[in-house]
Amino acid sequence: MKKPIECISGGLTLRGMLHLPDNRTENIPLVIMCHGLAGVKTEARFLFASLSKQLEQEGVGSVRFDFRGNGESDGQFIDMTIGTLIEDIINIRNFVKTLSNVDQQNVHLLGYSQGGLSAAIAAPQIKNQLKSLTLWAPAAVLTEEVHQGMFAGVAFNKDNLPEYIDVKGLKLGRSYLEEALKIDAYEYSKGFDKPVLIVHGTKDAAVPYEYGIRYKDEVYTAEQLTFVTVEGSSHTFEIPEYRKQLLDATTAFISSQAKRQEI
Amino acid sequence: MKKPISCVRGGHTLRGICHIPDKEQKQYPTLILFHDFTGNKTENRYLFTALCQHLEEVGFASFRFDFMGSGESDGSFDEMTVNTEIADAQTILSFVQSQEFVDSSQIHILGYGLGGVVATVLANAMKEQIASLCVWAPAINLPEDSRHGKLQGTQYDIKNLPPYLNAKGLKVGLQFLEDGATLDIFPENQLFDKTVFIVHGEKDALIPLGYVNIYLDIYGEKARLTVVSDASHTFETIDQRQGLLENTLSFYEGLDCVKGAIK
Repeated sequence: MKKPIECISGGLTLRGMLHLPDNRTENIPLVIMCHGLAGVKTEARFLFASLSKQLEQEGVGSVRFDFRGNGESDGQFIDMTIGTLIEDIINIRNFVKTLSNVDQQNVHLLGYSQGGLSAAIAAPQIKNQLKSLTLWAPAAVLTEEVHQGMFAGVAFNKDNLPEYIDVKGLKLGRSYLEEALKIDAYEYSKGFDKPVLIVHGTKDAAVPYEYGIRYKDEVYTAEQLTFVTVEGSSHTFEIPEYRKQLLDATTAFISSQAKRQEI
Repeated sequence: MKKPISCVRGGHTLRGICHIPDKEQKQYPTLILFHDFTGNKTENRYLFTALCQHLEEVGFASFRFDFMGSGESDGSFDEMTVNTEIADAQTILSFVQSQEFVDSSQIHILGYGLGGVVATVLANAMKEQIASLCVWAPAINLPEDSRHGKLQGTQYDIKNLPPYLNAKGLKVGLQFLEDGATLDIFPENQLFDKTVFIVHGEKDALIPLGYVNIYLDIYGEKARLTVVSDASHTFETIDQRQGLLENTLSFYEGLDCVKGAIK
Protein backbone atom coordinates (compact mmCIF):
# COMPACT_ATOMS: atom_id res chain seq x y z
CA MET A 1 0.00 0.00 0.00
CA LYS A 2 1.27 3.44 -0.79
CA LYS A 3 -0.24 6.84 -0.16
CA PRO A 4 0.75 10.50 -0.45
CA ILE A 5 1.65 12.20 2.84
CA GLU A 6 2.70 15.64 4.05
CA CYS A 7 4.73 16.95 6.95
CA ILE A 8 5.90 20.39 8.02
CA SER A 9 9.55 21.41 8.22
CA GLY A 10 10.75 24.95 8.79
CA GLY A 11 7.17 26.15 8.34
CA LEU A 12 7.00 24.60 4.85
CA THR A 13 4.97 21.67 3.60
CA LEU A 14 7.05 18.71 2.50
CA ARG A 15 5.26 16.26 0.22
CA GLY A 16 6.08 12.61 0.19
CA MET A 17 4.98 9.05 -0.21
CA LEU A 18 4.40 6.43 2.49
CA HIS A 19 4.69 2.69 1.78
CA LEU A 20 3.38 0.12 4.22
CA PRO A 21 3.51 -3.65 3.63
CA ASP A 22 0.08 -5.21 3.09
CA ASN A 23 0.71 -8.19 5.34
CA ARG A 24 1.52 -6.26 8.53
CA THR A 25 -0.68 -3.96 10.56
CA GLU A 26 1.54 -3.19 13.54
CA ASN A 27 5.17 -2.93 14.62
CA ILE A 28 6.19 -2.21 11.05
CA PRO A 29 9.88 -1.46 10.46
CA LEU A 30 10.36 1.62 8.28
CA VAL A 31 13.06 3.35 6.22
CA ILE A 32 13.32 7.10 5.60
CA MET A 33 14.82 7.77 2.14
CA CYS A 34 16.68 11.00 1.32
CA HIS A 35 17.05 11.97 -2.35
CA GLY A 36 20.03 13.65 -4.00
CA LEU A 37 20.87 17.10 -5.38
CA ALA A 38 18.12 18.36 -7.71
CA GLY A 39 16.43 14.99 -7.25
CA VAL A 40 12.97 13.93 -6.16
CA LYS A 41 11.42 11.30 -3.95
CA THR A 42 11.25 8.69 -6.72
CA GLU A 43 14.92 9.35 -7.55
CA ALA A 44 16.49 9.06 -10.99
CA ARG A 45 14.94 6.24 -12.97
CA PHE A 46 12.74 5.46 -10.01
CA LEU A 47 15.47 3.90 -7.84
CA PHE A 48 13.72 4.88 -4.60
CA ALA A 49 10.26 3.90 -5.84
CA SER A 50 11.66 0.49 -6.83
CA LEU A 51 13.43 0.06 -3.49
CA SER A 52 10.22 0.91 -1.62
CA LYS A 53 8.40 -1.82 -3.57
CA GLN A 54 11.13 -4.36 -2.87
CA LEU A 55 11.17 -3.53 0.83
CA GLU A 56 7.40 -3.84 1.04
CA GLN A 57 7.80 -7.46 -0.09
CA GLU A 58 10.11 -7.96 2.90
CA GLY A 59 7.62 -6.45 5.33
CA VAL A 60 9.45 -3.12 5.59
CA GLY A 61 7.70 0.22 5.09
CA SER A 62 9.24 3.45 3.85
CA VAL A 63 8.73 7.19 3.56
CA ARG A 64 10.22 9.28 0.78
CA PHE A 65 9.86 13.05 0.89
CA ASP A 66 10.93 15.80 -1.46
CA PHE A 67 13.18 18.14 0.53
CA ARG A 68 12.11 21.77 0.89
CA GLY A 69 12.62 23.73 -2.32
CA ASN A 70 12.74 20.45 -4.26
CA GLY A 71 10.18 18.52 -6.31
CA GLU A 72 6.61 18.94 -5.02
CA SER A 73 7.56 20.41 -1.66
CA ASP A 74 7.17 24.07 -0.77
CA GLY A 75 10.06 26.51 -0.54
CA GLN A 76 12.63 27.81 -3.00
CA PHE A 77 15.60 25.81 -4.23
CA ILE A 78 17.85 28.84 -3.71
CA ASP A 79 17.14 28.72 0.05
CA MET A 80 18.19 25.09 0.47
CA THR A 81 21.37 24.34 2.42
CA ILE A 82 22.83 21.20 3.94
CA GLY A 83 21.49 22.58 7.23
CA THR A 84 17.93 22.71 5.88
CA LEU A 85 18.31 19.18 4.52
CA ILE A 86 19.35 17.94 7.96
CA GLU A 87 16.51 19.86 9.60
CA ASP A 88 14.11 18.25 7.10
CA ILE A 89 15.46 14.78 7.93
CA ILE A 90 14.95 15.37 11.66
CA ASN A 91 11.44 16.70 11.06
CA ILE A 92 10.63 13.70 8.88
CA ARG A 93 11.85 11.44 11.69
CA ASN A 94 9.49 13.34 14.03
CA PHE A 95 6.67 12.88 11.54
CA VAL A 96 7.33 9.12 11.53
CA LYS A 97 6.68 9.14 15.30
CA THR A 98 3.06 10.00 14.51
CA LEU A 99 2.64 6.76 12.53
CA SER A 100 1.15 4.50 15.20
CA ASN A 101 1.61 1.26 13.28
CA VAL A 102 5.36 1.80 12.88
CA ASP A 103 7.81 0.19 15.31
CA GLN A 104 9.63 3.27 16.59
CA GLN A 105 12.59 1.12 17.68
CA ASN A 106 12.93 -0.07 14.11
CA VAL A 107 13.38 3.04 11.97
CA HIS A 108 16.21 3.20 9.42
CA LEU A 109 17.71 6.04 7.41
CA LEU A 110 18.95 5.94 3.81
CA GLY A 111 20.43 8.68 1.64
CA TYR A 112 21.71 8.90 -1.93
CA SER A 113 24.50 11.29 -2.96
CA GLN A 114 23.76 14.70 -1.36
CA GLY A 115 21.00 12.88 0.55
CA GLY A 116 23.70 10.47 1.78
CA LEU A 117 25.98 13.31 2.85
CA SER A 118 23.08 14.85 4.80
CA ALA A 119 21.82 11.57 6.26
CA ALA A 120 25.33 10.73 7.48
CA ILE A 121 25.52 14.06 9.34
CA ALA A 122 21.95 13.82 10.67
CA ALA A 123 22.40 10.25 11.92
CA PRO A 124 24.58 10.94 15.01
CA GLN A 125 22.16 13.73 16.00
CA ILE A 126 19.24 11.28 16.14
CA LYS A 127 21.16 8.07 16.74
CA ASN A 128 18.81 6.85 19.47
CA GLN A 129 15.94 7.06 17.00
CA LEU A 130 17.63 5.02 14.25
CA LYS A 131 18.49 1.35 13.92
CA SER A 132 20.69 1.52 10.82
CA LEU A 133 22.03 3.86 8.17
CA THR A 134 22.49 3.25 4.43
CA LEU A 135 24.53 5.57 2.20
CA TRP A 136 24.53 5.33 -1.60
CA ALA A 137 27.54 7.15 -3.05
CA PRO A 138 27.52 9.70 -0.21
CA ALA A 139 28.56 13.06 -1.67
CA ALA A 140 31.23 14.34 0.71
CA VAL A 141 32.83 15.62 -2.49
CA LEU A 142 30.40 18.56 -2.28
CA THR A 143 31.75 19.95 0.98
CA GLU A 144 35.34 18.97 0.16
CA GLU A 145 35.48 20.62 -3.27
CA VAL A 146 33.91 23.92 -2.18
CA HIS A 147 37.29 24.70 -0.67
CA GLN A 148 38.69 24.67 -4.21
CA GLY A 149 35.85 26.91 -5.45
CA MET A 150 34.02 24.03 -7.12
CA PHE A 151 30.53 22.67 -6.60
CA ALA A 152 29.01 19.82 -8.63
CA GLY A 153 31.24 20.71 -11.55
CA VAL A 154 30.49 24.46 -11.37
CA ALA A 155 33.41 26.79 -10.59
CA PHE A 156 32.87 29.87 -8.40
CA ASN A 157 34.94 32.45 -6.52
CA LYS A 158 35.08 31.23 -2.94
CA ASP A 159 36.53 34.50 -1.66
CA ASN A 160 33.66 36.49 -3.11
CA LEU A 161 30.66 34.21 -3.17
CA PRO A 162 28.07 34.88 -5.89
CA GLU A 163 24.38 35.27 -5.04
CA TYR A 164 23.85 31.87 -6.62
CA ILE A 165 25.49 29.39 -8.97
CA ASP A 166 23.84 27.63 -11.91
CA VAL A 167 23.45 23.94 -11.09
CA LYS A 168 21.85 22.49 -14.23
CA GLY A 169 19.38 25.33 -14.46
CA LEU A 170 18.61 25.58 -10.74
CA LYS A 171 19.90 28.39 -8.54
CA LEU A 172 22.02 27.08 -5.71
CA GLY A 173 22.23 29.92 -3.20
CA ARG A 174 25.10 31.69 -1.50
CA SER A 175 23.90 30.47 1.89
CA TYR A 176 24.47 26.87 0.77
CA LEU A 177 28.06 27.62 -0.25
CA GLU A 178 28.80 29.72 2.83
CA GLU A 179 27.64 26.94 5.10
CA ALA A 180 29.33 24.17 3.07
CA LEU A 181 32.68 25.94 3.52
CA LYS A 182 32.32 25.36 7.26
CA ILE A 183 31.25 21.73 7.11
CA ASP A 184 33.69 18.87 7.55
CA ALA A 185 31.50 16.08 6.22
CA TYR A 186 33.55 13.24 7.71
CA GLU A 187 34.07 14.87 11.11
CA TYR A 188 30.39 15.81 11.38
CA SER A 189 29.31 12.25 10.55
CA LYS A 190 31.17 10.71 13.47
CA GLY A 191 29.34 9.36 16.51
CA PHE A 192 26.76 7.12 14.88
CA ASP A 193 27.27 3.71 16.45
CA LYS A 194 24.66 1.53 14.71
CA PRO A 195 25.18 -0.66 11.63
CA VAL A 196 25.96 1.17 8.38
CA LEU A 197 25.84 0.09 4.74
CA ILE A 198 27.70 2.03 2.05
CA VAL A 199 27.23 1.22 -1.64
CA HIS A 200 29.50 2.96 -4.13
CA GLY A 201 30.43 2.43 -7.79
CA THR A 202 34.10 2.34 -8.77
CA LYS A 203 33.56 4.48 -11.90
CA ASP A 204 31.57 7.21 -10.16
CA ALA A 205 32.64 10.49 -11.79
CA ALA A 206 30.23 12.71 -9.83
CA VAL A 207 31.28 11.40 -6.41
CA PRO A 208 34.56 9.53 -6.90
CA TYR A 209 34.77 6.17 -5.12
CA GLU A 210 37.59 7.47 -2.88
CA TYR A 211 35.12 9.79 -1.14
CA GLY A 212 33.09 6.73 -0.13
CA ILE A 213 36.19 4.90 1.05
CA ARG A 214 37.04 7.79 3.38
CA TYR A 215 33.84 7.09 5.36
CA LYS A 216 35.20 3.58 5.84
CA ASP A 217 38.65 4.82 6.89
CA GLU A 218 37.69 7.86 8.94
CA VAL A 219 34.12 7.61 10.21
CA TYR A 220 32.83 4.09 10.81
CA THR A 221 34.35 1.05 12.50
CA ALA A 222 34.97 -2.21 10.67
CA GLU A 223 32.46 -3.88 13.02
CA GLN A 224 29.58 -1.58 12.18
CA LEU A 225 30.22 -1.08 8.45
CA THR A 226 29.27 -3.16 5.43
CA PHE A 227 30.89 -1.68 2.31
CA VAL A 228 29.55 -2.86 -1.03
CA THR A 229 31.57 -1.97 -4.12
CA VAL A 230 29.73 -1.99 -7.43
CA GLU A 231 32.54 -2.74 -9.84
CA GLY A 232 32.37 -0.53 -12.94
CA SER A 233 29.30 1.45 -11.92
CA SER A 234 28.91 5.19 -12.33
CA HIS A 235 27.04 7.46 -9.92
CA THR A 236 23.69 6.48 -11.41
CA PHE A 237 23.98 2.65 -11.46
CA GLU A 238 23.25 2.96 -15.14
CA ILE A 239 22.87 -0.62 -16.33
CA PRO A 240 20.31 -3.15 -15.02
CA GLU A 241 23.02 -5.34 -13.39
CA TYR A 242 24.38 -2.44 -11.30
CA ARG A 243 20.89 -1.36 -10.41
CA LYS A 244 20.07 -4.88 -9.26
CA GLN A 245 23.24 -5.11 -7.15
CA LEU A 246 22.40 -1.81 -5.50
CA LEU A 247 18.77 -2.61 -4.78
CA ASP A 248 19.37 -6.23 -3.71
CA ALA A 249 22.28 -5.39 -1.38
CA THR A 250 20.23 -2.61 0.19
CA THR A 251 17.08 -4.71 0.60
CA ALA A 252 19.11 -7.55 2.16
CA PHE A 253 20.88 -5.21 4.59
CA ILE A 254 17.79 -3.33 5.72
CA SER A 255 15.58 -6.39 6.06
CA SER A 256 18.23 -8.16 8.14
CA GLN A 257 18.70 -5.03 10.28
CA ALA A 258 14.94 -4.82 10.70
CA LYS A 259 14.96 -8.35 12.15
CA ARG A 260 18.01 -7.76 14.37
CA GLN A 261 17.28 -8.03 18.08
CA GLU A 262 18.87 -5.21 20.04
CA ILE A 263 20.51 -6.28 23.27
CA MET B 1 -3.45 24.73 -4.10
CA LYS B 2 -2.08 21.42 -5.20
CA LYS B 3 -3.12 17.94 -4.25
CA PRO B 4 -2.34 14.32 -5.09
CA ILE B 5 -4.81 12.53 -7.35
CA SER B 6 -5.11 9.16 -9.02
CA CYS B 7 -6.99 7.38 -11.75
CA VAL B 8 -6.99 3.79 -12.95
CA ARG B 9 -6.31 2.23 -16.33
CA GLY B 10 -6.26 -1.50 -16.93
CA GLY B 11 -5.97 -2.24 -13.22
CA HIS B 12 -2.99 0.07 -12.79
CA THR B 13 -3.28 3.14 -10.60
CA LEU B 14 -1.79 6.23 -12.24
CA ARG B 15 -0.70 8.79 -9.64
CA GLY B 16 -0.47 12.48 -10.22
CA ILE B 17 -0.77 16.00 -8.89
CA CYS B 18 -3.32 18.64 -9.75
CA HIS B 19 -3.08 22.37 -9.24
CA ILE B 20 -6.27 24.35 -8.65
CA PRO B 21 -6.08 28.16 -8.70
CA ASP B 22 -7.46 30.00 -5.70
CA LYS B 23 -9.56 32.53 -7.63
CA GLU B 24 -13.15 31.71 -6.69
CA GLN B 25 -14.05 30.81 -10.23
CA LYS B 26 -16.26 27.80 -10.78
CA GLN B 27 -14.18 26.52 -13.66
CA TYR B 28 -10.67 27.10 -14.95
CA PRO B 29 -8.85 26.57 -18.21
CA THR B 30 -6.77 23.49 -17.64
CA LEU B 31 -3.45 22.09 -18.81
CA ILE B 32 -2.53 18.39 -18.85
CA LEU B 33 1.22 17.68 -18.92
CA PHE B 34 2.83 14.46 -20.20
CA HIS B 35 6.37 13.67 -19.04
CA ASP B 36 9.35 12.36 -21.01
CA PHE B 37 10.81 8.86 -21.36
CA THR B 38 12.16 7.77 -17.92
CA GLY B 39 10.81 11.05 -16.53
CA ASN B 40 8.11 11.76 -14.02
CA LYS B 41 5.46 14.32 -13.22
CA THR B 42 7.89 16.87 -11.76
CA GLU B 43 10.24 16.47 -14.75
CA ASN B 44 13.96 17.26 -14.81
CA ARG B 45 14.86 19.85 -12.21
CA TYR B 46 11.17 20.41 -11.54
CA LEU B 47 10.38 21.99 -14.93
CA PHE B 48 6.75 20.80 -14.85
CA THR B 49 6.25 21.78 -11.23
CA ALA B 50 7.62 25.26 -11.90
CA LEU B 51 5.39 25.78 -14.95
CA CYS B 52 2.28 24.60 -13.11
CA GLN B 53 2.96 26.91 -10.17
CA HIS B 54 3.21 29.90 -12.50
CA LEU B 55 0.07 28.85 -14.35
CA GLU B 56 -1.82 28.49 -11.09
CA GLU B 57 -1.09 32.15 -10.38
CA VAL B 58 -2.58 33.26 -13.70
CA GLY B 59 -5.71 31.17 -13.25
CA PHE B 60 -4.85 27.93 -15.01
CA ALA B 61 -5.54 24.56 -13.42
CA SER B 62 -3.21 21.70 -14.32
CA PHE B 63 -2.76 17.95 -14.05
CA ARG B 64 0.48 15.98 -14.18
CA PHE B 65 0.51 12.20 -13.95
CA ASP B 66 3.24 9.57 -13.97
CA PHE B 67 2.65 7.16 -16.84
CA MET B 68 2.16 3.45 -16.18
CA GLY B 69 5.50 1.95 -15.10
CA SER B 70 7.06 5.35 -14.35
CA GLY B 71 7.48 7.34 -11.13
CA GLU B 72 4.83 6.60 -8.51
CA SER B 73 2.38 4.89 -10.87
CA ASP B 74 1.72 1.16 -10.90
CA GLY B 75 3.04 -1.20 -13.52
CA SER B 76 6.46 -2.21 -14.71
CA PHE B 77 8.65 0.08 -16.79
CA ASP B 78 9.58 -2.78 -19.14
CA GLU B 79 5.92 -3.00 -20.22
CA MET B 80 5.76 0.67 -21.15
CA THR B 81 5.57 1.61 -24.84
CA VAL B 82 4.35 4.69 -26.65
CA ASN B 83 1.02 2.92 -27.05
CA THR B 84 0.58 2.30 -23.31
CA GLU B 85 1.34 5.98 -22.76
CA ILE B 86 -1.23 6.99 -25.38
CA ALA B 87 -3.80 4.79 -23.63
CA ASP B 88 -2.81 6.38 -20.30
CA ALA B 89 -3.23 9.81 -21.84
CA GLN B 90 -6.76 8.96 -23.05
CA THR B 91 -7.71 7.82 -19.54
CA ILE B 92 -6.19 10.93 -18.01
CA LEU B 93 -8.08 13.17 -20.45
CA SER B 94 -11.41 11.54 -19.48
CA PHE B 95 -10.51 11.85 -15.80
CA VAL B 96 -9.72 15.55 -16.20
CA GLN B 97 -12.92 16.18 -18.17
CA SER B 98 -14.93 14.73 -15.29
CA GLN B 99 -13.58 17.22 -12.74
CA GLU B 100 -16.04 19.92 -11.71
CA PHE B 101 -13.53 22.77 -11.68
CA VAL B 102 -12.30 22.05 -15.21
CA ASP B 103 -13.65 24.10 -18.10
CA SER B 104 -14.03 21.27 -20.61
CA SER B 105 -13.96 23.67 -23.55
CA GLN B 106 -10.51 24.86 -22.43
CA ILE B 107 -8.43 21.72 -22.00
CA HIS B 108 -4.89 22.28 -23.25
CA ILE B 109 -2.17 19.65 -23.43
CA LEU B 110 1.61 19.77 -23.23
CA GLY B 111 4.15 16.99 -23.69
CA TYR B 112 7.92 16.80 -23.29
CA GLY B 113 10.11 14.45 -25.35
CA LEU B 114 8.27 11.15 -25.70
CA GLY B 115 5.39 12.82 -23.87
CA GLY B 116 5.37 15.34 -26.73
CA VAL B 117 4.68 12.52 -29.19
CA VAL B 118 1.94 11.21 -26.89
CA ALA B 119 0.39 14.69 -26.68
CA THR B 120 0.53 15.09 -30.46
CA VAL B 121 -1.18 11.74 -31.06
CA LEU B 122 -3.82 12.61 -28.46
CA ALA B 123 -4.43 16.05 -29.95
CA ASN B 124 -4.95 14.54 -33.41
CA ALA B 125 -7.20 11.76 -32.15
CA MET B 126 -9.32 13.92 -29.84
CA LYS B 127 -9.11 17.23 -31.66
CA GLU B 128 -12.63 18.39 -30.76
CA GLN B 129 -11.84 18.03 -27.08
CA ILE B 130 -8.50 19.81 -26.97
CA ALA B 131 -7.99 23.57 -27.18
CA SER B 132 -4.24 23.75 -27.89
CA LEU B 133 -1.15 21.59 -28.18
CA CYS B 134 2.29 22.48 -26.83
CA VAL B 135 5.32 20.26 -27.30
CA TRP B 136 8.75 20.59 -25.73
CA ALA B 137 11.48 18.85 -27.72
CA PRO B 138 9.05 16.19 -29.01
CA ALA B 139 10.67 12.82 -29.76
CA ILE B 140 9.46 12.95 -33.30
CA ASN B 141 12.31 10.68 -34.43
CA LEU B 142 10.77 7.80 -32.43
CA PRO B 143 9.41 5.82 -35.42
CA GLU B 144 12.64 6.21 -37.41
CA ASP B 145 14.91 5.40 -34.45
CA SER B 146 12.74 2.44 -33.48
CA ARG B 147 12.91 0.99 -36.99
CA HIS B 148 16.69 1.27 -36.85
CA GLY B 149 17.06 -0.16 -33.35
CA LYS B 150 18.16 3.12 -31.78
CA LEU B 151 17.20 4.12 -28.25
CA GLN B 152 18.36 7.33 -26.55
CA GLY B 153 21.42 7.48 -28.74
CA THR B 154 22.36 3.80 -28.25
CA GLN B 155 22.42 1.75 -31.43
CA TYR B 156 21.30 -1.89 -31.18
CA ASP B 157 21.69 -4.53 -33.89
CA ILE B 158 18.13 -4.79 -35.13
CA LYS B 159 18.69 -8.34 -36.43
CA ASN B 160 20.15 -9.51 -33.13
CA LEU B 161 18.37 -7.71 -30.32
CA PRO B 162 19.06 -8.53 -26.66
CA PRO B 163 16.08 -9.66 -24.48
CA TYR B 164 15.63 -6.07 -23.34
CA LEU B 165 17.15 -2.64 -23.96
CA ASN B 166 18.80 -0.48 -21.32
CA ALA B 167 17.64 3.00 -20.38
CA LYS B 168 20.31 3.94 -17.83
CA GLY B 169 19.54 0.96 -15.61
CA LEU B 170 15.88 0.56 -16.44
CA LYS B 171 14.87 -2.34 -18.66
CA VAL B 172 12.98 -1.42 -21.81
CA GLY B 173 10.96 -4.17 -23.49
CA LEU B 174 11.35 -4.96 -27.20
CA GLN B 175 7.68 -4.07 -27.67
CA PHE B 176 8.79 -0.46 -27.17
CA LEU B 177 10.63 -0.58 -30.50
CA GLU B 178 7.78 -2.39 -32.24
CA ASP B 179 5.15 0.10 -31.12
CA GLY B 180 7.46 3.01 -31.85
CA ALA B 181 8.27 1.75 -35.36
CA THR B 182 4.63 1.38 -36.37
CA LEU B 183 3.29 4.57 -34.80
CA ASP B 184 1.49 6.98 -37.13
CA ILE B 185 1.91 10.32 -35.37
CA PHE B 186 0.19 12.42 -38.02
CA PRO B 187 -2.71 10.45 -39.53
CA GLU B 188 -3.63 12.16 -42.78
CA ASN B 189 -7.35 12.56 -42.25
CA GLN B 190 -7.30 13.29 -38.55
CA LEU B 191 -5.09 16.26 -37.82
CA PHE B 192 -5.38 18.71 -34.96
CA ASP B 193 -6.66 22.05 -36.28
CA LYS B 194 -5.97 24.52 -33.47
CA THR B 195 -2.85 26.27 -32.21
CA VAL B 196 0.34 24.23 -31.93
CA PHE B 197 3.29 25.67 -30.00
CA ILE B 198 6.70 23.99 -30.25
CA VAL B 199 9.73 24.76 -28.09
CA HIS B 200 12.98 23.03 -29.00
CA GLY B 201 16.59 23.28 -27.89
CA GLU B 202 18.95 24.47 -30.61
CA LYS B 203 21.52 21.82 -29.67
CA ASP B 204 19.26 18.93 -28.74
CA ALA B 205 21.46 15.90 -29.49
CA LEU B 206 18.73 13.32 -28.83
CA ILE B 207 16.18 14.93 -31.14
CA PRO B 208 18.00 17.21 -33.58
CA LEU B 209 16.20 20.48 -34.24
CA GLY B 210 15.57 19.64 -37.90
CA TYR B 211 13.02 17.00 -36.93
CA VAL B 212 10.48 19.49 -35.59
CA ASN B 213 10.07 21.15 -38.99
CA ILE B 214 7.48 18.48 -39.62
CA TYR B 215 5.15 20.33 -37.23
CA LEU B 216 5.43 23.46 -39.37
CA ASP B 217 4.89 21.44 -42.55
CA ILE B 218 1.84 19.67 -41.20
CA TYR B 219 0.09 22.33 -39.17
CA GLY B 220 1.12 25.29 -41.31
CA GLU B 221 0.27 28.72 -39.97
CA LYS B 222 -1.36 27.26 -36.84
CA ALA B 223 2.07 26.12 -35.68
CA ARG B 224 4.66 28.34 -34.03
CA LEU B 225 8.21 27.27 -33.21
CA THR B 226 10.46 28.83 -30.58
CA VAL B 227 14.08 27.71 -30.52
CA VAL B 228 16.00 28.07 -27.24
CA SER B 229 19.59 29.04 -28.06
CA ASP B 230 22.31 26.55 -27.16
CA ALA B 231 19.84 24.36 -25.26
CA SER B 232 20.19 20.58 -25.08
CA HIS B 233 17.24 18.23 -24.67
CA THR B 234 17.18 18.97 -20.94
CA PHE B 235 17.49 22.80 -20.89
CA GLU B 236 20.39 22.62 -18.46
CA THR B 237 21.24 26.22 -17.63
CA ILE B 238 19.28 28.99 -15.93
CA ASP B 239 19.03 30.89 -19.25
CA GLN B 240 17.82 27.85 -21.19
CA ARG B 241 15.35 26.99 -18.46
CA GLN B 242 14.00 30.54 -18.49
CA GLY B 243 13.80 30.49 -22.28
CA LEU B 244 11.68 27.38 -22.09
CA LEU B 245 9.45 28.36 -19.17
CA GLU B 246 8.93 32.02 -20.02
CA ASN B 247 8.03 31.35 -23.65
CA THR B 248 5.63 28.62 -22.62
CA LEU B 249 4.02 30.76 -19.95
CA SER B 250 3.63 33.65 -22.42
CA PHE B 251 1.90 31.28 -24.81
CA TYR B 252 -0.72 30.38 -22.20
CA GLU B 253 -1.06 33.94 -20.93
CA GLY B 254 -1.73 35.06 -24.49
CA LEU B 255 -4.69 32.73 -24.92
CA ASP B 256 -8.09 34.44 -25.08
CA CYS B 257 -9.45 32.37 -22.20
CA VAL B 258 -6.72 33.69 -19.89
CA LYS B 259 -6.61 37.27 -21.15
CA GLY B 260 -10.34 37.48 -20.47
CA ALA B 261 -9.94 36.14 -16.96
CA ILE B 262 -7.04 38.43 -16.08
CA LYS B 263 -8.74 41.68 -17.13
